[in-house]
Amino acid sequence: MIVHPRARWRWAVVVCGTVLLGAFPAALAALPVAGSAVSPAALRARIMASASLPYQGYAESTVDLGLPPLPDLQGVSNLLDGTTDQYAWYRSPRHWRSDTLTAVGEDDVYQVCGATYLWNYSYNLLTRVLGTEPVRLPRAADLLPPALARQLLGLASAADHLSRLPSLRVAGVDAAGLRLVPADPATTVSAVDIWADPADGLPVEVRIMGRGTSRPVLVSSFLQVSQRRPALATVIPHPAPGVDVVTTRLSSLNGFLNEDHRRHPWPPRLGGLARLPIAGGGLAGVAAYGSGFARFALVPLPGTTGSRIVDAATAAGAAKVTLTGGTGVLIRTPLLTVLLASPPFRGITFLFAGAVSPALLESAASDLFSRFASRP
Amino acid sequence: MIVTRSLTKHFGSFTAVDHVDLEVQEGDRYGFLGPNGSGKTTVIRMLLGLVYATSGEIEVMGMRMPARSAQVLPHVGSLIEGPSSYGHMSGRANLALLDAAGTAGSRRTRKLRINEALERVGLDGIDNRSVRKYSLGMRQRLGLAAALLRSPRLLVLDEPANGLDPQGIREMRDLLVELNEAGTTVFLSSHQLSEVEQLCTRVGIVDRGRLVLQERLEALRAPTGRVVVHSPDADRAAAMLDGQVQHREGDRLVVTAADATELNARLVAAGVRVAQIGAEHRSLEETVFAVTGSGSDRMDRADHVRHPVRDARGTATGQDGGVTGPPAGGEAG
Amino acid sequence: MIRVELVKLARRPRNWASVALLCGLPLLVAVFVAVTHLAPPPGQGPALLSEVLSSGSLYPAAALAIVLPVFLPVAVAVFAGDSIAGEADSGMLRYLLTRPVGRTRLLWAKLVALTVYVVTTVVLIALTAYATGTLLFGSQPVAAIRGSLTTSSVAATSLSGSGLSPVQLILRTLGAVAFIAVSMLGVAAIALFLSTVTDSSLGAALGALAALITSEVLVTLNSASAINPYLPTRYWLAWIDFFRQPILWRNIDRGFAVQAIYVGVFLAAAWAHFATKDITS
Repeated sequence: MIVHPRARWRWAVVVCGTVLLGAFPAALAALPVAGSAVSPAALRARIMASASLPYQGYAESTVDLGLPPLPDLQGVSNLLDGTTDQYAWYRSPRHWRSDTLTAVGEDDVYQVCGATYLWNYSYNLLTRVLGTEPVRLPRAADLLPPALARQLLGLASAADHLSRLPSLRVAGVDAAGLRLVPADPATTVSAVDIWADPADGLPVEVRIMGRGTSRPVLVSSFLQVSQRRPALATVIPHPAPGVDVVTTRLSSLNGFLNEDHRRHPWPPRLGGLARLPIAGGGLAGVAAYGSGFARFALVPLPGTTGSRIVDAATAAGAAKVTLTGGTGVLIRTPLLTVLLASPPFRGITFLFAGAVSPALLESAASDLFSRFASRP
Repeated sequence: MIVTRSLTKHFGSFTAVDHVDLEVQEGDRYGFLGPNGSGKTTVIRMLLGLVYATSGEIEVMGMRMPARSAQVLPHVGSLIEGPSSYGHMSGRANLALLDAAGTAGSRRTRKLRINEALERVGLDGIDNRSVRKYSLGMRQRLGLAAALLRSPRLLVLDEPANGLDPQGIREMRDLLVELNEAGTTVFLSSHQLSEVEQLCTRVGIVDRGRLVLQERLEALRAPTGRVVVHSPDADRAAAMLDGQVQHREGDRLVVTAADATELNARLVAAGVRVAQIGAEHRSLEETVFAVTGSGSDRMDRADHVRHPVRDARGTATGQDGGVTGPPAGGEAG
Repeated sequence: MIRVELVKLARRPRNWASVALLCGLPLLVAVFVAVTHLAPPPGQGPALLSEVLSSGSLYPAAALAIVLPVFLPVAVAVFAGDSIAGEADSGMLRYLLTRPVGRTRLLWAKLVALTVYVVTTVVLIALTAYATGTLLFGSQPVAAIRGSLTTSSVAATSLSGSGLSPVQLILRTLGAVAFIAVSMLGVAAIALFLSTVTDSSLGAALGALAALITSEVLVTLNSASAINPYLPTRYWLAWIDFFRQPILWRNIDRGFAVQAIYVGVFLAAAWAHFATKDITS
């Protein structure tokens, strides 16, 4: 086909225009990022002090653990596998709100002074949770970069190594990078990378690397962020007349818990790690052991829930392991390790989960079972 | 009216039109002849700015095409490769849409223009039936009406007689002559020799993309210098005219002679009965065959000069191949 | 020429049939839901459909959600694919161009007709759905929000659980209608471009739909996340963000921008191609 000479320049104009448009975002991203000379320790201090900074923004968290879907823990496994989009309005530590966005609805968390409100569009239900929960399942708001960064840095001990990373532009912020390498060999976290606004320490991106993988297992970053303080009205729920509102004191974990074990005295040490004190006295019968990044949670699951989860994990290809005094099913992911351990005689399953090596959890479970065996 | 210089069009590696120099003068009834696939339609599309030339120049009404389409085309009426219309609408509605499209004339006089055009083509009695239900001939007339909508100075008609019955063809011919006499230049393409012969004053013949001949029809049909004699006494006539007879066929003789009347006098004087006598003219058909090859939708293997030809649409038109004409040569008597 | 195109648009029975079908599907769904009182649970099925039992005035948005995934893009692609290719196919293109109608002007007129078709269709869907919704489900009993400074009536519940006043609901529905119309214009631009490339209107429509399906597949693909923001259907569902409280503008803005770029690029391509194309139909 002979191309008309005028066609050539017209096409040239169109192609050039399209390429320019397409390259525009890339060109913006390629603009040099302003570096920052702040020291790792100073940056860490700024991040830890950033809890009072207001912000609002759109955050996207991608976690790639490869966890099998676990019954009754759907919310958690969705959170820990896949992409979560949320919009957060953070006015102060006492007043904030985070909406987890889905294509057809949303799940919101409001923090209003001492109370937490959970809005679930699917159930048309606003739940008011009184008091703070000392132990609860992870939820989307925990993955917001500022919350996650402060949480992770809070776990760091003096032995962990801090260094600076090259700056990165995140959601328009020229963010200074900080790398934390845990010293404890028992944890599966090989590094935590945090980028924060060097001026005031507002974290804008967090990445967690697992041992043995080069790609981050978790990336949480702002796609859009502003430090404008949201209005109070925005962070307070205004349920419409047709919305069901319930008030509860119960923790989100209560659905799983075995009443019998509420007062069960947990051993002070398991697998060589010390039990962590839980504020409020361990309301849910849940225990946590360890220090720094090498820590795990221990949750007793009642018989039916436990066996359903064990079955699902087995079906998904989790490895069976033999423990002294019981059996277990081990779910290994690049970051999180989950051990479902069952003593042979009782209708109960113990869920051990943490960013620690499988061997540590197995020895902890064996420790726990040996205590049962020694006790009549 | 229409001038092209070295007009050339390639479709890929195929040369559809090859250095064509057309010249149509104002007031002509120009017949553009050629076998199917010889490039007639492509030339017409280039004249109207539908297809862009690969090289060469086009001037219509003294203005460059396609650069000045906006000035030229309002004065051109056209019928290209058959009529088209929106089948779900009536003929009148179709004309109204076409009239409104482009540099529209006054909206107030639209109805008048449409009625006039319909009357011209003999469709003034049409009702509100949708065009889908029209016969082929009616559609052809409607197409012609569309071409006449704005009293064009130039009519470009591609195979206008298609689909018309003999009566319709005659009506169309009369209409075109009438329009031409009123000052409209008519440029029509055809592969029907008789149509061109009866209507046109000037002929251009195109073959495999090249303009092989462009001449006044009268000049083409000049006497050949021979006389055709029909006589019941053919033997005697042949004996008498020995040496002059070129060809004999029963009682028909072809004789080399400058003047038919003088020959007639000689024959009659010699007592030879003459049934019919007249100067021989070249027929258009002979001229066409002399300058063109066979219809180019034939695909002969022997020579590779001839390319497989597609017409402008890239498909066969489905009409009879080759140039067709009346069965006998034009014999004037 | 624009007037001519609008006349053609209005006088073509096929166009009205497509609009009637598009308005009819939500009507059918509404009748079933109203008769059985079985709406899909919130968060499942078409967006917002669960809400309409309590407030019929949300039905325009729900109706758009019903037709958005398949019906509407198909209708728009078929209509837009017919723009130039249909004229070429019927043979009218050559007569229009020799009228003469400038090629750019013809394209422009086609674009206006397309826009009118898309907007009319989307608005008609919303209007018939509003009538259907209020008729079959009734509008939500006007209730007062307590505790706020002013007591205002509530027409519907937002995705965030808070109430929307009638004015808010109307404005947001209009926003969603505008967003969906613009998304459809993106589809139309692709189909219009293809319509200048081929003489088969079906081919152009199918080409545009193939582009959309490819885009929808790539949107869900993690490994294609690098090109995700450039895909035409990436932000299609963002109209639902109008029904959050407060409105989540990020994806809406991007959706508008992406569609504007698609419309611009494909119109430019259509212009570049059509204005210098040999018309051999």
